[in-house]
Amino acid sequence: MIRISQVSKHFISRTGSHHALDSVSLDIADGQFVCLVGPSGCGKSTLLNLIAGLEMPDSGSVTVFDTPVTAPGPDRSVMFQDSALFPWLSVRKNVEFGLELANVPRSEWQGRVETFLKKVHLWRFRDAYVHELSGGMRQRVALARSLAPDPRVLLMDEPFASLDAQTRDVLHVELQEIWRATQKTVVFVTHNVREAVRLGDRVIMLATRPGRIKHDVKIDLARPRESEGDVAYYVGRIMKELKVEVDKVMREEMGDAWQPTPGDLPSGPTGGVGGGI
Amino acid sequence: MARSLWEGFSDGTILVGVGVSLRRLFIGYSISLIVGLPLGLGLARSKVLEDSLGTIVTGMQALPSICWLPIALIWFGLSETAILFVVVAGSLFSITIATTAGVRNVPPLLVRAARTMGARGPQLYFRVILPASLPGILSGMRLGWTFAWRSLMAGELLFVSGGLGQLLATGRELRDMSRVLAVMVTIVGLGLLTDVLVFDRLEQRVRERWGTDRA
Repeated sequence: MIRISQVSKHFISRTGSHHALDSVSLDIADGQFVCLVGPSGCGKSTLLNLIAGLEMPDSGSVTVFDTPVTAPGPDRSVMFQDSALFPWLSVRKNVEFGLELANVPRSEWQGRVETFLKKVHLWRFRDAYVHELSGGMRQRVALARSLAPDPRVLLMDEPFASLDAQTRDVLHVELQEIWRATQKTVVFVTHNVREAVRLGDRVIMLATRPGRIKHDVKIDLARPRESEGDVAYYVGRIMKELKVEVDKVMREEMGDAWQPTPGDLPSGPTGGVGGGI
Repeated sequence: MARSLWEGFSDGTILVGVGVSLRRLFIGYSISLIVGLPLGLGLARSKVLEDSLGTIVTGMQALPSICWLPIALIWFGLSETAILFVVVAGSLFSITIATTAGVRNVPPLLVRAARTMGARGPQLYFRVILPASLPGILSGMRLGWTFAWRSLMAGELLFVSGGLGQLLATGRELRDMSRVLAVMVTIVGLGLLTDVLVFDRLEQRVRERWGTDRA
């Protein structure tokens, strides 16, 4: 279980102090797929970084499986919006690198690399270098690299945000399949509400300034989920709440220039507020 | 000139000169690499080092290496060490500066990603930061090589020491134009050869891997 209790976090920048998280508490059960949504600056990535151990809270505590988080570790894999693959290594070596750092015995490498590269359908490209792959393929390699050391938690920070809609759709299907097969605990940050509803058991909406949890919506839908039908119902519900928060951010950023039109959501065809950014 | 070149090679004077110069070059350049690479890495990653040595390194880079010769002569006399000193002084700082720049240009995300996988300490430096800054380091090594070569020639020209530089100097004293030209051609040839055989190949390999060879 991931337990976040009373966590607060400030950032100090040139433009002043920014209250990223204000005594946030959250429990995530093992094997759960939790999506964090919210307007930009609500602290959803910060929350993820705290679980990853890349950042430390000002107050409060983060424990993963009853161990306080003090540093990043291979039990919690992180995927970023950019694949963050190493350009000097081939696909295979990139995956092996994660295994090496997690102290997986060398004798197991070959089997694991094969298993996970096949899972993301890239076994054929095992000897390719990163620049030879498309954006979607890179994210799939990154997914294989994250999964191969068999982490207990998979943390994903907008991993599909820079992909085109079709590729994203394919990856949603693949990710659901892999998640079902491996039963990892997943924390998935996105600003795309449709993506969150489609993938998550729970969608947690964060409010901004200060960052705190506003809604915790349980998504009770059968899998695999397509992006139509019942998904749309939840999307609509969450978007309505989200709009209030987005308005708040916009008013702060733009001042008087921001004139929201009632009932008119600033959403694109993919249903993501700010999804086109 | 061609005859002079031929004679120089056949009676061994040029070959001996090449041997002496290359030996100095290799030793001096190796010292520069051994000192310059860690120094550059340190400057990029440590605030303390940057604050204390950063300006000095940049300043030294502005000083033509031959200006070190008087110091070298006072300290070491007319010796092999004095020449090596000039070669190291000429190439060390450009290697250091290029390494620093290369390390600073490593995308922070790569380091973050490596940390989340459990990399820390030396692992992070040797397996991630160093390979990630390889393109920058390589251009620094190339630059350092040229500077080392130039410093060596300048040093050798100025005092009797064997080596190609001295052959040039004696050619001048004898007013033997063809001999001077022959030595110059040899120097150009050596420079081209190392560039093509060593650095071009290395850079080509890096470019292919990183995919920076296509626009």
